[in-house]
Amino acid sequence: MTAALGLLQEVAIKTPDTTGYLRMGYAAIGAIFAAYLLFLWMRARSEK
Amino acid sequence: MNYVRVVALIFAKDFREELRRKENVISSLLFAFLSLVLFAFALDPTQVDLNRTGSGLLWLIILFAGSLFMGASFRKEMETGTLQALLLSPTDRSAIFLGKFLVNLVFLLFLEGLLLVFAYLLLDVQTGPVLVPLAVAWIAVTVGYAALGTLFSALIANVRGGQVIYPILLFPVLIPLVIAAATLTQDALAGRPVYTSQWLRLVALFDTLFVTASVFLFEYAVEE
Amino acid sequence: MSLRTWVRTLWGLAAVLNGAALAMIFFYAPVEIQMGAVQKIFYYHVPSAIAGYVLLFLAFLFSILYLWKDDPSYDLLAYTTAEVGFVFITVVLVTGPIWGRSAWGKWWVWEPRLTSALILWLMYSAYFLLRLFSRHEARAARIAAVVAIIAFFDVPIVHKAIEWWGSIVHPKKVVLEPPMRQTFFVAMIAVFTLAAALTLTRFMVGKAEERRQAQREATP
Repeated sequence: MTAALGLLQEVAIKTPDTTGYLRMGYAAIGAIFAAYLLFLWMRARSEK
Repeated sequence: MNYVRVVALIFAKDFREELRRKENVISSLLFAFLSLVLFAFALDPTQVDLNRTGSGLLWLIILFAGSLFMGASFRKEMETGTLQALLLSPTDRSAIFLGKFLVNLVFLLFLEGLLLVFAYLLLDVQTGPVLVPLAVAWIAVTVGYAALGTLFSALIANVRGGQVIYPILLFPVLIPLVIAAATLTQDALAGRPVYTSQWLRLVALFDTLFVTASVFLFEYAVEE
Repeated sequence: MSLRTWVRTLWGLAAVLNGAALAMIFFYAPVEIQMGAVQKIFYYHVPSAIAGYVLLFLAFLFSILYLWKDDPSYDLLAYTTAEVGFVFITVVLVTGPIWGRSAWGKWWVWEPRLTSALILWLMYSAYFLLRLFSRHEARAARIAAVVAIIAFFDVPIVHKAIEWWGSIVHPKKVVLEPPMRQTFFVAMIAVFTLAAALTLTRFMVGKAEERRQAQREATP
């Protein structure tokens, strides 16, 4: 009984490994800002 | 001339014009009817209870057919120069807007009535017993819809390709109204209270806000 | 100080601050116990949402000012703030589902705040499309201003409607541990500096385009 409870607790607080999604998230943020800067840069260039 | 009379005159002029140039009215009504028929094929009405899930679909038809009608409402005026003439005349600009708004409102309500009749005939949507609360809800929703529809139609009247962006511009703004319309229709058809619904209050707020804003902003929308 | 120096300084500041924020996020902030590392998306997701809404609010104000004062500078400011605000809302809409996929198992759940952001995104997409369609039109700026004003009036109503309609809710109150709070604070400043730098840069590009346009019209 106590062993089962202990197991349950261990399962409940086991932190999942979600580093992949974290990296994907920040890669996406970087990509969006990079794309926008590229867009601005191209607009500025076409004006010269 | 007092203000109400001016609005009434402009309404009468626009109304007559729509009836005389009937292609706009007829094509929108036919489009709505056609969409309803297409729904029957897309949905299998023997399995889907349209009294419950059909309300949102009915409103999609109203949205598409209505925007077909309203999107063109200032185009003719621009082409014939009527709007320029009206703008030059000493009439209050908001009166021009209100006249057009009322024409659109009347047309939309007519379209909605017709749609309900055909929904009853073709898809057995039972609206008879709940007609009054249903009408209150639909009229309330249509006021806000017609106000923004008219304003946006004035905005795109001169823009090349404006007809294409008209629905793209209009529909996102109308989303709260669409949710409210679908929910209220569903409630009405199921016999649940409509008058005390929080959704009706939201629609009332939407109407007040956007009728006022449209009357005020119309002037800027048409000014050269 | 000239505008150009301002922009340079801001970009320098933005680079330093964002570097610091990222370092804190990846190496200082603790891993949240239930969701794991993915929770750290929060440090850019939330400030981006706030910055996006602030910028779109500014676009609304500049649109009103434009209609009122009829000064083309306000039109450019409205266009600028709307565009940069749109970029930040895009960040929110992209990071939200990545976090959601990890936490809820699905890419998209019709979560109220995310759904409201999506509707806002759709409204401003139409706004830019309208700008594109009407760029040779005399009344273009006025038309855009009216749309921006209507769109912003709609925001609170959209929020209310989506809230009633949806079911899944963001955590109302988030308890943050001190290191998390510090990281969030730095990330907030970093994101806002980045927003300011982007806005000023976009404004300068717009000004350059206007000058060029004027030159083109002056020389036959």
